[in-house]
Amino acid sequence: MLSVGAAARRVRAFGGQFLLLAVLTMTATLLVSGVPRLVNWYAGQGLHQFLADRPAQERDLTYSAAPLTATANGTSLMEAYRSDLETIRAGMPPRVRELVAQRWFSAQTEPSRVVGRDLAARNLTVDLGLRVVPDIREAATLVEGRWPDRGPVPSGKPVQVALAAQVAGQFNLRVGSRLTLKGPDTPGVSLPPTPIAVVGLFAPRDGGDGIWDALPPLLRVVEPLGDGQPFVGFAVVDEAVLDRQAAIGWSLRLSWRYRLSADIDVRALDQILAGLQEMSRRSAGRTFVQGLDVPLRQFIAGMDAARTVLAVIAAGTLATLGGLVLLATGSAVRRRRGEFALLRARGGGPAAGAGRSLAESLLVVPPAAVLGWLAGTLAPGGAGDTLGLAVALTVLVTLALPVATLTAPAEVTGRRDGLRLRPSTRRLGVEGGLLLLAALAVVLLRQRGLESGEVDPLLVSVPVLLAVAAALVAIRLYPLPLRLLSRLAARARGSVAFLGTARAGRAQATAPLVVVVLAIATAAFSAVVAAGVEASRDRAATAVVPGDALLLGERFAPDTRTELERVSGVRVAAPLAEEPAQRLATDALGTDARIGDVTVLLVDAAALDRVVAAAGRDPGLPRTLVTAGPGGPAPAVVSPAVAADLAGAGLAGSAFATVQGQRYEFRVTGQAETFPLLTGGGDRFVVLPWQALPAREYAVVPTGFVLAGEDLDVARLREVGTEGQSRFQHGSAVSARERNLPVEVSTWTTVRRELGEGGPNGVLVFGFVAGAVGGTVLGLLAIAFTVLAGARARGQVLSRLRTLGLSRGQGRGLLLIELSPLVGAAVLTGALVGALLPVLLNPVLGLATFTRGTPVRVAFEPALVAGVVALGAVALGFAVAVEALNNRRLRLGEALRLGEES
Amino acid sequence: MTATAEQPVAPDLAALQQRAAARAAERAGGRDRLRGHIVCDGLVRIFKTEGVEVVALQGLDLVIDRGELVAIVGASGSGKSTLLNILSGLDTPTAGIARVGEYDLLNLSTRRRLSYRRDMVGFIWQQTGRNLLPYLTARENVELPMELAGRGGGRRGRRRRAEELLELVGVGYCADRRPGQLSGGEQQRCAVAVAVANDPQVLFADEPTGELDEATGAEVFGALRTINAELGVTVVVVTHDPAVAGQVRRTVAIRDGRTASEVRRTARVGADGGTELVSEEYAVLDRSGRMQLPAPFVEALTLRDRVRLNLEPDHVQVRPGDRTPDADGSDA
Repeated sequence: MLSVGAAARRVRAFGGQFLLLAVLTMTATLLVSGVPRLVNWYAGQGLHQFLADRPAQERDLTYSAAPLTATANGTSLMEAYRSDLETIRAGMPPRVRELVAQRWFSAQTEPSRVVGRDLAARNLTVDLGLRVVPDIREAATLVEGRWPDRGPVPSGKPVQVALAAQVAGQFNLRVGSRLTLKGPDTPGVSLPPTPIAVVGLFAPRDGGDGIWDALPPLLRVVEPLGDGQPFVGFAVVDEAVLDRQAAIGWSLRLSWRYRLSADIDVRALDQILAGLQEMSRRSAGRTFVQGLDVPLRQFIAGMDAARTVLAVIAAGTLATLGGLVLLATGSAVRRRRGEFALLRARGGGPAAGAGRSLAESLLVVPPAAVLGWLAGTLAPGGAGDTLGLAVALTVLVTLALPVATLTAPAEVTGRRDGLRLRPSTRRLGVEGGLLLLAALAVVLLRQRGLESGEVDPLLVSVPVLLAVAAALVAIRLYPLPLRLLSRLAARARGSVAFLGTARAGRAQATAPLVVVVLAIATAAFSAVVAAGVEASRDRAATAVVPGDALLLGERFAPDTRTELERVSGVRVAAPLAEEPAQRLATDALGTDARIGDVTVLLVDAAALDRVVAAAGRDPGLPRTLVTAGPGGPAPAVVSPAVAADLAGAGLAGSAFATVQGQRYEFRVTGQAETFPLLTGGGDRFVVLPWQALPAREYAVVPTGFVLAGEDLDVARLREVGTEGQSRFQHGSAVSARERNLPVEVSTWTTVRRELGEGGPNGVLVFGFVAGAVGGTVLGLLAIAFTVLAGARARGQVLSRLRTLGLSRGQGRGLLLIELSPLVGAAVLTGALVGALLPVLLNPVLGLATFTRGTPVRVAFEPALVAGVVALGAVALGFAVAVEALNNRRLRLGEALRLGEES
Repeated sequence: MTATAEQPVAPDLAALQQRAAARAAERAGGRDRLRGHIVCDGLVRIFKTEGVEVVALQGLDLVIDRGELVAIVGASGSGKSTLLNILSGLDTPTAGIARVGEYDLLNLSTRRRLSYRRDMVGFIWQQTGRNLLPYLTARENVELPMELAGRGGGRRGRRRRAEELLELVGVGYCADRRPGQLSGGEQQRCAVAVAVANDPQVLFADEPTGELDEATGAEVFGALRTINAELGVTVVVVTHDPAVAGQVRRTVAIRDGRTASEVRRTARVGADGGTELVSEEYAVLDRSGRMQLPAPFVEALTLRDRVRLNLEPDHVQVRPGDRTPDADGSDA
């Protein structure tokens, strides 16, 4: 009867069981096939966004050759070197080569002093370089004049150049301007000057085109670095000009620039990095410059952390699915035990039943696995290398049913009612061993840490082990209070409570409960870590902007505060002044305290406290700062490093800090690891309460403001800030040349949003949502199994009790009392494990990557309790619904000897 | 012991018995080989659960000859199902001798056990649902044991034999129906056909008529008798059904894990020239000389704790222990 037709008939006969098995298999392979794709897709999106948010120049790979002097043999150097553009590309590692989206060759002379009438008219000192840009005629439009002639420069004629219109404007040059370019200063060699004529002015068609990103820029003038230094600009010339200049001894700089596409395949990141490294090693006499590896490594670090979290979630989900498969096969074998016994009795060999099960499994599982896999391929994103895993899973699931058939006791002899009341020593030993193993794994993992970039088998197994161990403990423990309760209930009126607790205290469903715990733990882990990351991001954002908005500039006129408070929506503004790298002094005269540099932050803590309260944030302001008033040394909060130094120097009671030239005395009244507003890094700071400082003639002016308010108009704030800044510049005694100082306005909302955007965040959010939803759904499914496992026994009891006069309502009550401890224990244990896991694993998960370094604290979440209660209620309702449905199918109450076929 | 003459319930019972014995002798190769087809001697089976021991069989003796149709009766918990489980090779006795044909049931290797099930015995259970696979037709159910045993004859041969067997038990018309489409009696008769599909020497039936009404039960029992007579198969039926017990030549009663008594029906030619069945009940004496007194005897004389035994020339007297030997004499 091992023919396909017969097996198909049996599959049809036990359709429900096989459908369940097929659905579970499909789900597993769907996840195995689809999730890596989705992860790659989200990671790709994240990487694209991550790279797009950064300047495009970061994606440039630039080769440049050392200044080179040609021999005068009449060949065109430019042509030869331009053709290297392709040669170099061909020599790149394949992964890098296929990413090259654009490439440019350029050659230029070193900028050298240029003189002329038009420059002299403005009294400008200018260095000018000559540059060959091969494709400039396509990338720019002529504003005036024409492009320089092609071909060799006739002797005695000036070199024709074209300038960017903006550069020409700044240099006071126009078409027709005549200049003389002196030879570069080369020691020992005197090069003749070159006459130049400006023949054309151009403007870029697209200023963002990568062709303009070569350094130094062609479109802008490089401002002088200091007094007496020249402006630097570049002019475009024909190739032949540089050939000639090289021939007469001018040294040239050649550069080959390749821009990589931002559409980098996440899976190839490692190979791309390796390729870049290889290129740096083998640059063949050229200088190789690239800035891509740093951001890529940064992204990979984030991705690794995300993958780690995802691996934990995936392991939990797959383990739950595996558990469900075991439950499904177990229930199938239980249901068909009679059939297998019959087969054996009729002369079937020991493996006859297993062989038939295998035939059935082969008919159902592999096709379902293939279907699931194919459905998974519909997900966007590149395939992951999980085919092996899928095949292994399929083989395991296919074998599960035959193995279960083989190991199931064929015929139960003797009494069954006495079984399982007390666990055997061997069983207790195995359970104890498992507990020990879980504890060991946790300790080992915490001591060893993780290997980055790989899915650590230990990390993946710890949550599963822990959940299983916790479930086993729960199974052993939860009947104890119930038995006590049932003793109490026995004395109380009414029999339902007693019957319910007595039966629940002797429940037998163990395997399904483990699966429920595993599923709920996965869901809770996802939820708790997600909540922890969210809360830590809130804190990270609050540390940057402790109110609703932060205005930072150079120096503001003091009245800017009132101006800001007048802007609509603003409720409170608190000024602050930050001075990095200050020396502390031992006295008012400024005697150096001989301790390291510190960042001094002056903040009107009382006002900041109002801002914080108005904005509803909690950055944890030290109360000593807020309540500080004038008189005596100002109470300061310092970082532990500074506190230690001050204490070591005996200055904790009185030291002097300098802000904007003013020296203020302070005493250390508190220490803080971090302080809001001081997020730029550095563990050495002194925070002084502005409101407590003595009034001086030359008061310190604010360098920024923290604001609280609703619907803040960022543009208006920037405007007011800029006005305040220029009032400060014009209002002081000495008016400096106006500088274009930007005022930075960042709102809490934008900072918070940026924290949750880009990079691996898409992957992370996907993982959390999938983990929470998947865990919950699978958990409910496992609860259905748990309920069904005991449904027959409960149905029998209920059926008998009905004949003794139990009402329908009492029957429902009994069901509820019986199921609540089971469901409650499962959900609670799962939630506990899920909440405990992040605490145990936090040190190795590397979650701080997602919060810009702010350590993620996984704390007790009141929302978790609400979630668990809600989940428990849903699970209980679901359980009762499943049981009711099952009872209806069993025609409960209509048959007396329900389920007692033997 | 007691002997009662009764009108033959089935007039051809004696003839059937003779035919069965003849067929069995043919199969075994001579009448002298009929003795002791099934032998149980001092059979003990103890179940242990959580440290509690239940002695289900305590030294049971039973000998059944080839071609016999024997009914085993007993109250619930007397150990008859345990005996049947042991004889079917599903359970292993704790001690004693249990032999069926050349198979020693105490030392069956897996391979021997398999061949025992395939070639030696067939089973019928009480629950009709346990005998037949619900997703196979009656004929496929009969073919199944042949396929499992790898019987030759090919597909067609198996099919033909299945149809013959179904005809033999009188349900040839249901060959293409599934168990769900059969009545309880039809299902059990199919089960009989399934049980003998591999031409076993012994057929065990556990309450085969337990779930059936009297008329249907009689039909099923008829099928068993047919099998016994036509194929010479030794049939052992465990039953509660007094009607069944009345239709066999030998009924063995089990009490407290021991064979307590036996009823034998013999056919003899009566004074009027017709055959009549004579039913005689015997107590069973085991090898060490122990026997159980029938419960009515014990109650009638309120025998307790001790009894007196007197050896007479042709019988043994059993008297209550607390009376003087001559006050009241009773033959037991």
